[in-house]
Amino acid sequence: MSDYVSEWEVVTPGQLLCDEPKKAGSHTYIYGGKVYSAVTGVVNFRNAKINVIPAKGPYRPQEDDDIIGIVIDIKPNMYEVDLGWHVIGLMKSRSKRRKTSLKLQVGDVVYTTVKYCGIRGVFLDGGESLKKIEKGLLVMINPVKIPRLIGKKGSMLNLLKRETNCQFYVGRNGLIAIIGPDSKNEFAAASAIKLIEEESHLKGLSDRVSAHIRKILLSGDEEDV
Amino acid sequence: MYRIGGKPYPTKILHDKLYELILHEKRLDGRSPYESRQITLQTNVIEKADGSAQVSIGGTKIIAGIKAEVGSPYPDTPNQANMTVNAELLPLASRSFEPGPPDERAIELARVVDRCIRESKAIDLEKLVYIPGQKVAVLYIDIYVLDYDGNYFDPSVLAAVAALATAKIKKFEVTNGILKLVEGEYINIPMRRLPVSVTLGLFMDKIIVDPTAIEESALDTSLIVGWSTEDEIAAIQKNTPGRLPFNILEEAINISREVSIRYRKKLIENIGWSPELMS
Amino acid sequence: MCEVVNLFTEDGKRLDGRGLDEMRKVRMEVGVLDKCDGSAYVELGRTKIFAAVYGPREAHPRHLAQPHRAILNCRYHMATFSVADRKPAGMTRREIELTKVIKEGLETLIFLDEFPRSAIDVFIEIMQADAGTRTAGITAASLALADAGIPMMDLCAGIAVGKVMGKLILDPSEEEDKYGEADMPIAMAPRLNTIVLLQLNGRLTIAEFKEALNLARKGIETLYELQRKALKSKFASIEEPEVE
Repeated sequence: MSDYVSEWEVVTPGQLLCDEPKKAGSHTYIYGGKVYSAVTGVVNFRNAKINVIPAKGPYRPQEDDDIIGIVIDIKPNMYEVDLGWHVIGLMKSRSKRRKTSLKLQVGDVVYTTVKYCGIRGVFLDGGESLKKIEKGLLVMINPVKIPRLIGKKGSMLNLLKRETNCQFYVGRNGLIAIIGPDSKNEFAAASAIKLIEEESHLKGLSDRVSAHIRKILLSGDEEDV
Repeated sequence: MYRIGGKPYPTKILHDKLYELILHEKRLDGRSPYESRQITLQTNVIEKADGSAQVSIGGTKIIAGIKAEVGSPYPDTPNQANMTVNAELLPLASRSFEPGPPDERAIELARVVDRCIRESKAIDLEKLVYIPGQKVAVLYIDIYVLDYDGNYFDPSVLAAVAALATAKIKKFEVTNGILKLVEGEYINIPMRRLPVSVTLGLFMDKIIVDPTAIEESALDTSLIVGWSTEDEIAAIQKNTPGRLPFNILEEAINISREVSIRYRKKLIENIGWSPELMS
Repeated sequence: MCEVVNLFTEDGKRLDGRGLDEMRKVRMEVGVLDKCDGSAYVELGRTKIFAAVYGPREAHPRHLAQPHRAILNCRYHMATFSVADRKPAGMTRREIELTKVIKEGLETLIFLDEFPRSAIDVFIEIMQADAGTRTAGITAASLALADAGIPMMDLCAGIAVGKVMGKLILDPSEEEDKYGEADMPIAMAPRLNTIVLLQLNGRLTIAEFKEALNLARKGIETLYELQRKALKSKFASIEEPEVE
């Protein structure tokens, strides 16, 4: 794929990846006919392209993303929802499809989908997808780690559900709501999520996550996270 | 420690979750209500300063530096050295700190630290007078908040006091009424006491010690108590809006006293010195 | 004070024992502060600098936001106790000028059009100043931006070249800066072979200028490798955990 880097190698901004512009994947850029990394991250080959998976990064909204946001302002006909970083979501407060409109207040936590990303802002679905999260533990991790948290075909998230007995709402923007039978389980889940964030680039993560959760749940008191 | 939200306004579910936990004597980071976070303290971190200290309490990190100069005393205190405290909430430390001149929070921080040190008569300012009425030491205590996860008051007082206690300032002597620098010789800043402050948060009817930024965003109100010694209060500041029930004050003062003793012990451990040694 | 200060020892070494092309000891660490999106700590001799990045985030005030790209805000600021004679609190004219040249250097390399209508804030705090603060500052800022995952064309690193008693030296110390005939801070994005920050204070011939550039380049390459090492060290692998 490349004469200069191998898969899973850690690269830094400005590092040369290859000589073929058509192989430029995500988080790379083309300059003088060559492809370079734009971020600090790990090289990944997929679909005949060289991508860099960043170690950290801001949320880049995309259509159909499920997100969790916090209502920060109420305007006539519109809610302003904070999704973190520079992304403010806009959501119509009245919807044709919904029989009763959901009355939201500043400080409410919502789970919904990105309808489309326009020039004026990110538009969120205020209709059927919209759920208000009434209780639970809210955790934030870097958005680039969310795919790892979900896992291949949801495997990591299912592991978390099984081991902690909690319900999860996962936002692509990095916010996660954990609703569990009690706070000990919620804490165990939050601690496991933090572990996934820190060790996302290492192998054997699933086993370590299971062991970590069991250790917390079996201990007498809650572990200091 | 995991981050939640990241914005200054609290979410409703956060407020509910915090109270639910406190009813079980637990907090978000696993602490019990009267437990403070781990403190690390290092002195002499900035060699160019006459004294300096870096203090971390959980995720809050403060650096304090001391600079001593020579100047004229204030007209109403001709036989005392001058002391002035300046604090900055650096924009590095938090999303809610903007670059620019100190805002009301930074000024409040500086003035509360000043009161803790000045009112407890921690520094023997009379001993730093060179020519009475004319030349005295001018002590600048500058505090920078580098990283903010709640409670910048307590580590600021600790850092300022640690920096003062371990500072080495230029030695001067007076010959024929003229002030001269004694090259290569330094003196300690004469300290009588080691004040510390304790920040308490009030959540409905529950008191917590050393709130984190998340807790601060959901608290009803907070209170800082400065202790000059184990038994003497030197400063008090209610530093947030909100109701402070009259009946809770005594309990709050008692809790803060216990914590202040622990803080002072930690301070003495690190600077390897205490006023008892001086007398 | 017309004293001639000899800044070289008899065997041609500098007062602190360094050779003409030697930099002071460097230390770099990434991710040192918790609340910001990216951070770095850089030490160059006795110069100690923290840099932090917040962003991309909403531009404040909103009317300053640009429709097609992010705006970059920057602040180079020194602690009052960072220098021998206490510096007054607040921004001096020097800090304002240095803020400008550092900001312009960083702006050159960031893909600002990835984040329209937003702001990226970079804060550089000099906790102790012992010459070379603006170049070490931009080096730290570049690391903090990389730590935050802000897409950039390249990292940038900077160093100053001084002229003392007719000789060109790399990374002047405070005295060499004070008593020398010229001081040239320069920062580059080495992989792009581009200069992003360049100033000269003093007098140089054209030949000296060219030599100074080459001398600086060597220092910058060394710093660049240290930056990459600091960023990559966050990925260090761990030992097998204990299994109960």
